[in-house]
Amino acid sequence: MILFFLILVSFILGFSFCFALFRNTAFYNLRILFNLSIPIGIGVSSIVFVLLSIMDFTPLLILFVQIILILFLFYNNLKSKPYSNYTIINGGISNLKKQVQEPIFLLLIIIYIYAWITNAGIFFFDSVKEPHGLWDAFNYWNLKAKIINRSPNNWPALFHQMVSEDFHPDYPLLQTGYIAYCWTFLKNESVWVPITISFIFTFCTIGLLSASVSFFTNRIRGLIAGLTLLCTPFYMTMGDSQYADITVGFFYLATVVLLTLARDEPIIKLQLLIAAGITASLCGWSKNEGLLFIACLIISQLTLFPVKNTRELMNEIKYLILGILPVLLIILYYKMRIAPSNDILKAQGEKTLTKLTDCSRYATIAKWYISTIASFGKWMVNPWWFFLFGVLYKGINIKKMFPGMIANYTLLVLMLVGFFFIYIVTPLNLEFHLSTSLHRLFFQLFPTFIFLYFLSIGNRTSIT
Amino acid sequence: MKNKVLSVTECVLTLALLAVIVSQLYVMFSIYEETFESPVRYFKQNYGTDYITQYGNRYTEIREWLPPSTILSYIGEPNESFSMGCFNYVLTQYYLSPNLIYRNNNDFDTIIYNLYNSKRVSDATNFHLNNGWHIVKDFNNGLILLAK
Repeated sequence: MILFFLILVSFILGFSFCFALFRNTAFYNLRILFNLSIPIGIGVSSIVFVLLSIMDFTPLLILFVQIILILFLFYNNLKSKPYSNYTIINGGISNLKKQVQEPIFLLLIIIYIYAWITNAGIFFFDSVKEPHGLWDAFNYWNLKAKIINRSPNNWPALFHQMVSEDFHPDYPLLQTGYIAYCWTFLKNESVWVPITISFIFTFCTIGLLSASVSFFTNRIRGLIAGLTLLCTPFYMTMGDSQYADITVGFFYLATVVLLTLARDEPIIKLQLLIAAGITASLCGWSKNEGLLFIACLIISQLTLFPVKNTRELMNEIKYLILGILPVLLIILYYKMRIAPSNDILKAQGEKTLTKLTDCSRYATIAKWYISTIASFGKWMVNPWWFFLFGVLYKGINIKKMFPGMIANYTLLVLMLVGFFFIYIVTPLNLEFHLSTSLHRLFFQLFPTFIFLYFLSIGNRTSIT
Repeated sequence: MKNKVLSVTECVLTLALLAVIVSQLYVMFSIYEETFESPVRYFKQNYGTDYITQYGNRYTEIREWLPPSTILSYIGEPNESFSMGCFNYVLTQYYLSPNLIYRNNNDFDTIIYNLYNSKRVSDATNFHLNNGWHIVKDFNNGLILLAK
């Protein structure tokens, strides 16, 4: 019951936060708002908890601060004039009634609901079997949450003394912070807290993907996009393992969705650029790869110089950075003052140049990239051929519909290149490092890839 | 302009993709079919019986013994593999936090032995017992606490 209350508080916080940013944007889609609100609320709650816990605030005071924040956002939302020209793209109830009459749509709805229930069941059964999650969960996220919960006044000092190579105390604290926040209020370390958080992120990613593809294209594509993610076998395993790859993957997707929303019409919606900045910074608060994402996000915007006015683009980047900055400063504070240095960064030195010039490392990583893509998701019959066929049949339509898509694709490519070079300079055994992490890194980008794919193929109004 | 209606190729493509998705869904479901039939029984049979939860039961007593924020050296089984060594060490840290456990570091006055197989330290040959440490408490489950 208390857990439900805490999640409800986070949801209201996230919803009022999103609503404050979305107001005056002529954008109104409850499914997207709902799927964004809970994870953003969890992210913000986690930051508030960690920050105030460092300042020795008591848990009740932390909850009080959150409620004040909610009241402030509500007051702000009420005070501002409601936007009079909301347009509900993608139809309303009448359009839905028409679509239900289309057999293929009806079939998809039935399969989607069935797949959702089946996967929720699988998630639950796997969680009952492995309630502590798998390696990363109990070794990194839940372990640190235990330390924060059991030593609320001394945890920064303890983190600083932990063995970096074994426990990675430098890893960001979104998941850890929120688990510790719930445990502190529950006064016990229930395994259902991390399970519930993983469930929320896993299914909100599917919901956000489906809702946003529906919003930008049509409901059939939205359902197929959601189904592709739902039925990718390893995706559910990643979710119920309580790995933070799903968490960071959610925020990658949210950032790209918000960027696309911001640039969907000729007039750029600057509030949504700030929202995209915030979700990008939450990537950095989820996992270290999120920091690479922030860097790639800024760089990828530069590809829009040929298609945009320089001053206008610089203004957009300014708003994006404005959204990123507050959380990024907290991350930097955590990295510099509390956590010991990262093991990969610490190991760099003379050997780095040798590794960078070693062709065999490039060949090994390229080989792993290809084999991981080929067997990606552990499908019984690989569906990626259909994706390729979709591209060949419908063609890619990036520039005409969304100039911002060029930046989004560049972002994906830059991430893959970034991961590649992290492997080049890794101090760990290369094969071991690749075998334990590459598929997870691909899974982080997978929802974003599906989103971009469905938006890119063909004309977005061709099927409704 | 092909508005509102799916073309034949689009229909075929969508149905083919759906066939792959449904077959995958069927495979996923069939693995868990029995579980779906009786979820309550599954829950009763499996909840709390996983390896990590069971492993944690060994640490209940020692946690009460140790004052919070103790720093300990950790010694595992002498001949365990690297991966098993890591696994047991990590679980010890997991259950004994906020105490900090250091592996391969004998600088600390307190040492925890995690001898989940052999259960006992040999008084005659053990390095620590012959170099100023003594057994504070043997928890009779392979966990032994030594102090200087």
